[in-house]
Amino acid sequence: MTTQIPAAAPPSAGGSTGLQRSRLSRWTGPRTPAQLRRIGVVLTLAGLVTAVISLVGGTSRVGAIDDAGHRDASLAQAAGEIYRALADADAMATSGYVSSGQEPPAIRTRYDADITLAGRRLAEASRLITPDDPAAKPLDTMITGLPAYTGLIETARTYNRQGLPLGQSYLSQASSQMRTELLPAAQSLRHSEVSALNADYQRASALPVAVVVFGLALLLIALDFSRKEFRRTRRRLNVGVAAAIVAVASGLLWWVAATVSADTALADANEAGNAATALDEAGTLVLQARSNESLVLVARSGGSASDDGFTDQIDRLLADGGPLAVAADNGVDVADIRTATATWVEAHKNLRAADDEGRYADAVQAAVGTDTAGSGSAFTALDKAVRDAGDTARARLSAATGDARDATTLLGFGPAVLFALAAVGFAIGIARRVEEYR
Amino acid sequence: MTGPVKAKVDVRRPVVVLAVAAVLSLGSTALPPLYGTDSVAVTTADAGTKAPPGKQGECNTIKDSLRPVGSLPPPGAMPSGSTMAKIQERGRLIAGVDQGKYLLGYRNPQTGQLEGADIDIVRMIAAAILGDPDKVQYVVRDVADRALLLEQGQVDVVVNTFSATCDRQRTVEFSTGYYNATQRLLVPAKSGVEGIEQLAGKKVCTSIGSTTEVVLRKPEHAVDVVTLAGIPHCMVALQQGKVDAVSSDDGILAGMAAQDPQTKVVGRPLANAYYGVGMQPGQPDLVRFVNQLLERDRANGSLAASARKWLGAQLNPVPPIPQATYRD
Repeated sequence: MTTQIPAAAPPSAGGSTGLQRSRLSRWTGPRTPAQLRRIGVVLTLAGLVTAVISLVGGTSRVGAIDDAGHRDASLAQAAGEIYRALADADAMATSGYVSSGQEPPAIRTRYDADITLAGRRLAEASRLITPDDPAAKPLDTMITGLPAYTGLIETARTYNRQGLPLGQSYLSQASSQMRTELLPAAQSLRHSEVSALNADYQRASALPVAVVVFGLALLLIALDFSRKEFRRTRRRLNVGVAAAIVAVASGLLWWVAATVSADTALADANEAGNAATALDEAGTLVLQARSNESLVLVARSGGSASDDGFTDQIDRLLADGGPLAVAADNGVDVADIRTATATWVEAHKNLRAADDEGRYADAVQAAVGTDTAGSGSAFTALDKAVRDAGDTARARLSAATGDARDATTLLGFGPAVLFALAAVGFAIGIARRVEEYR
Repeated sequence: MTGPVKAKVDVRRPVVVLAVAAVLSLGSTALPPLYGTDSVAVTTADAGTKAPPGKQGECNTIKDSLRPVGSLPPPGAMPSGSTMAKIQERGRLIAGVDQGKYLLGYRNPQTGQLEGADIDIVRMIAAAILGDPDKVQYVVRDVADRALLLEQGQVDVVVNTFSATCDRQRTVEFSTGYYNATQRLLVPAKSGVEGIEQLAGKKVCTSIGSTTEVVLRKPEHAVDVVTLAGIPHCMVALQQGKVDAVSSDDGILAGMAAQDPQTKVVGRPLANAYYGVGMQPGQPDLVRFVNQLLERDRANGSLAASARKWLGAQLNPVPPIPQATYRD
């Protein structure tokens, strides 16, 4: 709709007929300087608005990535560790009971380490979680329930050392408290922390549409304006506007580059996070299956355990959509874990056959012995495979969040400063042009 | 200035572009984020607990056992074609027992071996058939599955505080009684409770689905009955102060009291029953054979000696060994 217009009247021709012209008229009316002033204001304001949007979007994104890298990641990890430590403690307590009389020192040591770790992580989590946080309730359950659990275990041990079978009942009561109270609470804590972490990723990876749209709009207007000015006046751009255009383009490029590289890292972090969570889950199922295997050996007569418990846990572990499948979907090679699971299931069947046929000593030997074909060794191998895969996933997670953080260094202020400079450039450049009409 | 101005500098266009940008930006907040899943859904839900066994039947008459015939064959020379001969051929007796009933059938944590008054009976039968009391395959299952083990033919005998009831006799053939069990109470030693009358309105624990439960629920006792998976669980509840007393057979309670000197067995017998060796109804020759062994051990005093050995410290006096009665 631009029409061919001859060069404007010379700027000096009869321009300043009167200082009487009101201040307002300098901004209104159809005269070219007024129009230039108005467009200058629009461009400057648009530059400032873009700068503010960029500042807000950038700091929120950096904050989200920081949260993901620090508070929430450490809480999610602590929750995962609590979950595993509790399940591990129970597996150790029950399998320690299987060996008659005194439990093996290695198992006792591992139990103690689990309880200490769980206690420490619970203390850390309770410092980070405020009372109104939904995670506070499961945390309370664990903090109050863990001493009760260890009390039951110690009573079971005392009876066991005295050779009295009442220890079995304390053991199965403890294990049942673990299964029905502590582990669900640990899972609920972990669930809410992983959700918080996911919310961080969502916040951090939301497309910076506002910035991009405003930046592009700004660029479009500035280029369009320059093109028309060139057609109208046959004059090249002035330095202010040119610099402003360059600043806008740089700001946009900064955003795009930071977003692309951070998103790559975030995608990896998200995947690694999902994998670590799934592997924690897998590890816990393995440990609970182990607890069940031991309980059936020592305390079945009370009606407190049946081998179905083992089968249930393993079925859940291997199910479509189960933790191993989820881990595989998130880039973990679970072939070794599946093989180790199959080996353990086989060894477990032999153990059950031995126990059911009355070869109790053989069954116990398979459960706690070092024979490589025994259930105990197969469990240890599987447990280690899952643990190692989890550690790898966690290392990947922390590297990826580090990358995301690096990519967004200065994203809060850098582009915002460029957009603000662009606003200044527009203001100065257009002011110059207006002055030419004096 | 001069002439009509024809859009020399278009101010409207930038404003429109910016307005569009603003609208797009607002709209963008509705866009989904790229990463982060809403929740992590994996598993949970604990396996359901075992359903309680069915109610005791209505019948009340307990059948007597089967009379022994002939003389006792020597170990390792069982009459051919008999059930005992099959066991001898197999080389081991398969017995359903418990491993959690102290003094009756329990696994000694120090040795990993099963011990107790019930185990003595099993060893005695194994010795009589095979000449070696150690040639036993012990099968430990839920107490509730005792009859099922026999029904499915998984064991030759069940020796696990198995009292003969009319209901169980539908699927199980019992030997004559080897122990006379009376239902009594276990209470804290210093509670001052000497009988069920003092427990009106108090919590009394027993194992779920047991005949003991039926007795406790009789209206004249007026106690608050609590049922748990087994008597050891009740014992734990008693020690934790969650219940005021545990009720079960005296032998079982004696095993509990022996593990906690702060408790004692009190009260008059609330019910009587005899423990028998459970066997399959389709193997009457084995039943007669076991009854013959029990006759012998009643006569030579070894049954009484075994009961005294295991229960004498807690039950004074140990109940007399029940007399054999036969239906044929």
